[in-house]
Order: sequence, then structure tokens, then C-alpha cells
Amino acid sequence: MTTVAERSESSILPYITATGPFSDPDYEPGQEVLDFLHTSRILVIGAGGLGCEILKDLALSGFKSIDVIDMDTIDVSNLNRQFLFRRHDVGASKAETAANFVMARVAGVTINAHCCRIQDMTHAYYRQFTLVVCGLDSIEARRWMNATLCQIVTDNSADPLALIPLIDGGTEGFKGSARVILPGVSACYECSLDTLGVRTVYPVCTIANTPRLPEHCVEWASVLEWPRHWGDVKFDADDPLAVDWMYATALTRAKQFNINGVTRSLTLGVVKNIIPAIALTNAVVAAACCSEAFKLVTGCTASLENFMMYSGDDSIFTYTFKYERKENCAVCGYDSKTFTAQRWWTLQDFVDHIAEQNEVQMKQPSLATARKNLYLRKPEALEKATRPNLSKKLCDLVEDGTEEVAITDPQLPISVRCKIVFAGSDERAEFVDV
Amino acid sequence: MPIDTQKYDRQLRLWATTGQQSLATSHVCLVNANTLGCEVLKNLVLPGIGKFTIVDAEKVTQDDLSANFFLKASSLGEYRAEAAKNVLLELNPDVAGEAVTAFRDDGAFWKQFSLVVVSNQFCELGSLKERLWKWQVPLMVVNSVGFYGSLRVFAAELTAIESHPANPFGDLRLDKPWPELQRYVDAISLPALDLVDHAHVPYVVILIKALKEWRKLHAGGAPESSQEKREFKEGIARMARNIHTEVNFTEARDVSWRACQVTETPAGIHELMDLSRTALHAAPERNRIFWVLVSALRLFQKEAGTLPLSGVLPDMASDTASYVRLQDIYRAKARLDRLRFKKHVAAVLLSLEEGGEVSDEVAETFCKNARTLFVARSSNTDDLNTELVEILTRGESPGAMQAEYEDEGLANLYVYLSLLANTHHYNTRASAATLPDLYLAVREVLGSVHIPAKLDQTLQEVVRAQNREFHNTSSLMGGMAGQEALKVLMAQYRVLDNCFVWDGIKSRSDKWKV
Repeated sequence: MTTVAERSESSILPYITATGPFSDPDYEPGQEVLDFLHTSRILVIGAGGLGCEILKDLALSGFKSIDVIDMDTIDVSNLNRQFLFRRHDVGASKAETAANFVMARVAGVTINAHCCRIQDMTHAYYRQFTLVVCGLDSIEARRWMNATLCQIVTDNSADPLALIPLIDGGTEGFKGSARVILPGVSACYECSLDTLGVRTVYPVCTIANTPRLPEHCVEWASVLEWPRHWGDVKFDADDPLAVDWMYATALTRAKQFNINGVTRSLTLGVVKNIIPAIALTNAVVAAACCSEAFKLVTGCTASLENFMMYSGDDSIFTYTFKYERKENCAVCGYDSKTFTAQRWWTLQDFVDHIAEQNEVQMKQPSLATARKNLYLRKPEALEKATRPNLSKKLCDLVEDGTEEVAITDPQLPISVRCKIVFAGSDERAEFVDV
Repeated sequence: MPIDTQKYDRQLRLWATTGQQSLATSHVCLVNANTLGCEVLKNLVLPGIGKFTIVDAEKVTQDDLSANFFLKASSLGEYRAEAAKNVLLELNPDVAGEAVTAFRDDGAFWKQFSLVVVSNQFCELGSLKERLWKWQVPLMVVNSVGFYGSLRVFAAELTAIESHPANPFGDLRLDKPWPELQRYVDAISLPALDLVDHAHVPYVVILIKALKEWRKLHAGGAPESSQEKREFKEGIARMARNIHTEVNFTEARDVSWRACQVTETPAGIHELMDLSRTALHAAPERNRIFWVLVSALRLFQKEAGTLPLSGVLPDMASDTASYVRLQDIYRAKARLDRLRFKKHVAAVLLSLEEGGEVSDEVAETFCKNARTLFVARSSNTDDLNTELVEILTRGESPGAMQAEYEDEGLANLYVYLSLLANTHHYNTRASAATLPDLYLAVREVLGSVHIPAKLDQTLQEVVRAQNREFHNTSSLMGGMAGQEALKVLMAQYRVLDNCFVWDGIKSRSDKWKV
């Protein structure tokens, strides 16, 4: 293999050799800054739309030692924006393909690719890094990463190197955001969880009885008909035959109710919860994130405080503001949250209610107090033992307003601590089922 | 060529095949294959424009390689235009590309483009701008120096039928139901319905009934004052048998404001309809059909007293049969309006001595969007326009963004001025800019205007950048410029009108109309 000369660093040197009018007065430019930039280890989470851009941006910002984690493989529908992939790459690991491409294009950069889940890596692995940049499309993965970096700070409070900044980018269509999180210092991802919109959920009674939109027909096919026909067989959106079945079933339903607009594309959109994605929003958000990575590592100028939202469908709009830490944040706070429950609620009613709350967002919550387990999903024996509690009245299980309940989810390293205040009547009101 | 619906799936969900078709037939010219220019093209090649041409006489240097991902290190010394073209073409086999390594000044060359993008300095910019303006070719000038970036759109007129408003106005006509709708509503007797049916009456029916009752008691008037609107809302809650369990009545109460809205033509659309009298004959070729449609809209409005019905019914609590029936009523009326509208289009075309008609799809899209048509018109004035100069002299924040940051708005204008000065310096002199050079350039750009002391900091920052591109700023500006270019090419969404600046040090931006 012939050695290719490394690229000139003239594009970053102005910030490393000289201080500027907006630099911190303590900033000392020079070789040490450049050395630190070169030796800093950066972890990139996600090698998709944002990830491809992030890897390119970091490689051309002077970072030379990068890791990337992504468990996904390349799909045809990625090619309209994930510019490190070609049609012949379809089916290959995103992390590996992206890493190899960038290393071949920019000599001197080393990128270690990991085709796995972030949950597969240990705290010791994450502690190696100077900084983490997230380009994910999942809230759950972001929460997991955020909680992990916050935990590392808590577990190593005497070690300043345990503070690993998290830079998080997100996009959806023409909209996006970039933020800087200093775990344990500034607002963490969980602190602002309640500002995220929750995915539209169609009520089951609408799907079952009064469909009006094509989406309702697709949900009927996927939520009700698929399990009825196929039992425990999991629906695979990448299997064309399965998608055909889903489409045909939704279409039959739509015809029966005179509803127009069920197409194969719409069917896929609903069952896969497809979010529109374009190259340029990823470019904007990734560049904003990597600009912050460069600023944080070099210290050449102040970094983002701490959130910038971007919107590009109506002209160009950015808005920068500071999220504040929350005292009752489940990850970096010390206080518990308070939820209000109706006196007539069973534990099951509360579990359903809590799972939907913006500041909790747990799909499979388990609940326990210091005295007893209220409901645990795992292990099986405990699930069986605690299941009868679900039909008991909540107010008979938990002390009103004083007892702390811990809510956990197997998917998240997070424990939401809360107190429950009871209101309303003991009896459930008469209710017309709509 | 058929559209690759699999590859483009994630974007077709935004701009549909109509937008994609416009992209596929477009031809974009980039002047300067620097980092910024290549990033803009990357963002246009990936979603599938038809063709690009790069005009660039420079050869690849070490400085280019430092920040440009779309130049290979092995291309050192080759023509930038060629080297970048080859790499960019690898991104999408649907796209064609060409490299031109000497500046061309013939009209035939420039008139072939749907859009020209000039990236950073270009000493022929002044004369090219004049000519593209004359030839009605839209131009975008984008800059990236250090942490700063700017974008300026030059086009006499840009239009969009599908402007994709964030909160589309509903067009329910609750205050002016047409006879078929009124008959359907009247045929429903709420007291006669059983418990289940009563809880499934769509809110459109509830609100039209409520408004009719209100008018009986209020001499034909609709709820106007906030007191009246509150009473109207409370009245709806009382129409329910149990407001806590009947979701349809809860919905009706929550959207009762819709019934209090007067169905009328938005002022902006009135302006466009007035404008269409002259624009029909003077508009750039690319906008001609737009103005034919707006002229037909004016004739429709004159005849019918309203705009054509959009025919879109939002989802609402209802049983399937009632909802589908109601949807049919809205769609049937929209279809009738559309046919009537098409007759007016034919009349307009006839008046232009052309004849012919528009397709049903075009008419449908236009009628659906008739309330939210977008037009941006700007002039070809030079950058040193009096309005901004006046703002500078007054020392007040000119920005539309973040009004609470008065100083920030002004600071963003300083960034813009500093970039202008930098461009001016490098377009007119060959030497590296020093602080005194930039002060001189500012004076040349601004004329005799007093130069604010605070400009010093942003000028210093520009000097520090040594007219070099920082990859992240170029990538970010390339994303934003690519986005605005797509809007121009598709004639969809609301395009920047017309000047934007980015401060990557503070992560803030601002925009103005120059």
C-alpha cells in the first residue's frame, strides 16, 4: 500500500496559532492545542444521515482518532443523503463502510468501526473518549447515552476526565437541532425530555370501530390483524411479502369503509414510522455539532450555550437558547417528581398513564417502592408474583404524597423517582365508550 | 426517466413526485469548486438534480485539500472543476455533470441554467450579476470565511404554489356553508340520535348548527367580541349530553374559534390577484403559468365572491359513515370549484392568444394552496443599500430574529458587513487582508457612513481567518444554500427573501430583506 501524504491543516490553523477577539482571555494557542486536537479520542454514535456528515466534518477539523458505533446495515433509501454509501454497499455495515470511506479519503485519520448496539459497550469503553457526538434517530438511544455519561461523572466525581461532553444532533425533514451537554454541569438530555413531542398514537377504538383516515386502516392491519393472523411471527418491514400482505389488508379495510388514499408507500410510512430525511438538514446540524466539538476540544472560542434549533422550510430560521438543569431530572437531578393519580385508579391505570407522560416516556415501566415491588416485568417469577397488584387500587398500595416510587424500564439505565398525590373520587365515573 | 421511488423515498414524502420531477429537469451552475461550492453541489446531487456545471479556472492546492472532502488528495495540481466534478458524480448516477475551466461571458452559456450559485469571491461577480438579472436566471451568492457565513438570493421574482405552510389554514366554510353542506347539517337532528350516534356527530356539523342558532338569537351576526366567543364556546359544551365523555363535543368546543372565523380571501392573496394584471405580461418565463393561474383565481373570486374550496377535511371524532359522507360533500364542492376555475384558466390563456388548458392535477394543487401562495420579489440593488446603512447609523437592532437580544441583531449585521468588506477586498486586491485593509474596504462599501466602533471585533475575527474556509462553516452554509437552491428549483416552500448571515462563534443567525 502506498502512503498518501496527509492533507494540509491550513484551514484550522488560524484558530490554533492565534487568539481571536471572541476567544476566552485564558486561551493559549499553540502546538499543545494542535497536539491535543490530534490525540483526542472522539466517539460518534450513528453512521446514518447525520453520522456520515459528522465523520466527514470531524476528519476535516483536525480530529485523527475516532470511533463510530452503528448496528444498522445500508438500505437503498439511505442513498439520497448518506453520501459515504453507494448502491453496491447495500446490506453492508454502516459503521464499517463509512469508516473505510473516510479513512481512504482523508489520510492520517483512524476510525474504529463497531457494528453493535451502544448498550453492548462498557463504561470502561466510554471512559476512553474526550467527547461524544450523537447523530441518532432514536430518543431511547439518546437517553441511554446521556444517562451513561451522567453516570460516569457521578461514579468518578474526583476525576475531571470523567466529564465527557455530549454533543447531540437531531433532524426531521427540514427541521433539526444541535446541543451541547456537559454531564453533571449543564442541562442533560433527560432534563428537557418533556419538550419533545410524543408520536401520534391512534386510539384503538378508532382503529377498530370508526376508521376515517388511510392511516387508521394501516394501523388496523398492523396492530389488530397481523397478530390475529400470524400469532407470534414478528412483522418484518424489510420483507416485501410481509409488506404486501399489510398493504392488501389495509386496502381491503379501506374499501370496506370507502376510505381513499391507502398506498404501499403510505403503508410503509405508518408501519415503519418513517420520518422524512434530506441531505441538507443533516449537513447543517452535523456541521453545527462538529463546530462545537472543535471549539470544546481546542478552546479557541466559547461553545454553544447550549441548544440551537433549526428550521428550513419557511426561509431559514435558527434559535439559540439555554436549557436549564432540572432539580427533579431522573438522570442528573436529586429531587423526585410528583404525579397526580385518581383515587379510583388501579396500578394498571397508573402504569398506562405514566408510560405516556412526556417526562417519563417508558414503554415497559416497572414500579417499586422501598417497602415492596409494585410491578416488575422481569424476571418472570417476579412478574408473576407482582401481576395481581395491577388490578389493585393504587391508593391502597402507595402512601399519598410521601412514599417514593421508582419507575424503571429494561431499555433504559434510568430510574424515575416520583411521589404520587391522589385526587378525585374513589369510584370511577360512568363512561360512554366512544 | 422514471423516478427511483426507493432511493428517493425519504424526500418524496416531503415534496412528492412533482417536486422531484422539477429537480430532475434542472441544471445548476456552480462558480468556484471550493469547499463551500462542493458542499452546496453535494446537497443538490444527492437528492437528484438533472445536471450541474462547474465553472472554475483554478487548480487544486494544498489549501483546497485542507477542507474539501470532494477533492481527492491525488488531484493536487489538477483543475478544481474537473476533479470536483468527477468526485461529485460518484454520489448519484442519475445526475450529469460538466466542468468548464475558463470563464465564459456569452449569453447562450449562462441562459441554459435554472440557477447559478457563486461560492465565495469571484471578481466578475458584478457584471455576471447584472447579466443574469437581465436574462432572468436566479443567482445565489454564498460566502464562508472562518466561523462566519452569508447567503444572498438575487431573483426578480420567485414563486411557490406549494409553500408548505407550518400551520395550514383550514378551509371549512363553517360561517358560509354552501347549500349541499347546509342541507346535510339540517338533516341531522341531534335530539333524535341515540347515545352512540350523538357521540359521533362530526364537529363540523355541531359548529354549523351552533352558529345557526347563535345567529337566530343575535340578529344574524356571528360571535365577534371575546365575551361573545366565550359564550358561544360555553353553548357548545351545553349541546353535549355529557361533555366529559363525548369526544366529538369536546373537540367542537376546543375548535369553536374556527366557527368564529370569517371565510375571506387573505390580504396577501388579494395583492397577488391585483398584481397578476401586470405580472401576467411581464413575469419571467418560469413564472408565467403561475401568473396565468393567479389571473384565473382573480376571475374566479370576482365571479364567486370566494376562493375555490380546498376540499381538505381534517380528521375529527366521528363514525366512519358520517366522516366519509362529509368528506364527499367537501370534495364534490372542491371539484365543482375546480372545474369552474379551469374555465377561467382557459379564458386567460385565450386572452393571451394561446388557448389550451391546465391539467386537473395542476388545477387541484393550485386550488388546494390558493390561500398560501408564495411570491418573493426583490430588486437588484447593490449590497450597500440605504436601509441597512440607516439602521447601522441609528445603531438599532434590525434583525427579525430574537428581538430580546437587541445587541445580537446588530452584531449579526456587523458580521454581514465584515464579510462584505472581506469579499470586496479580495475581489479588488490580491494581497492578504489586514485590519486597516478591511477598514478601507468597509469605507469603500459603505461610503461616507460612520463606522461603528463595535465592528472592530468582527473585522478582527475575519482577519484571523485569513480568507480561509473552516470546513464546518462551509458545510453548514452549503446545507443552507443547498436548501434554498432546492426551493428555487422546485418552486416549493418559502425561499429566503433575500439575505442571511451566520455567526458560528455565537451559533446565531439573522436575515434581512436587502
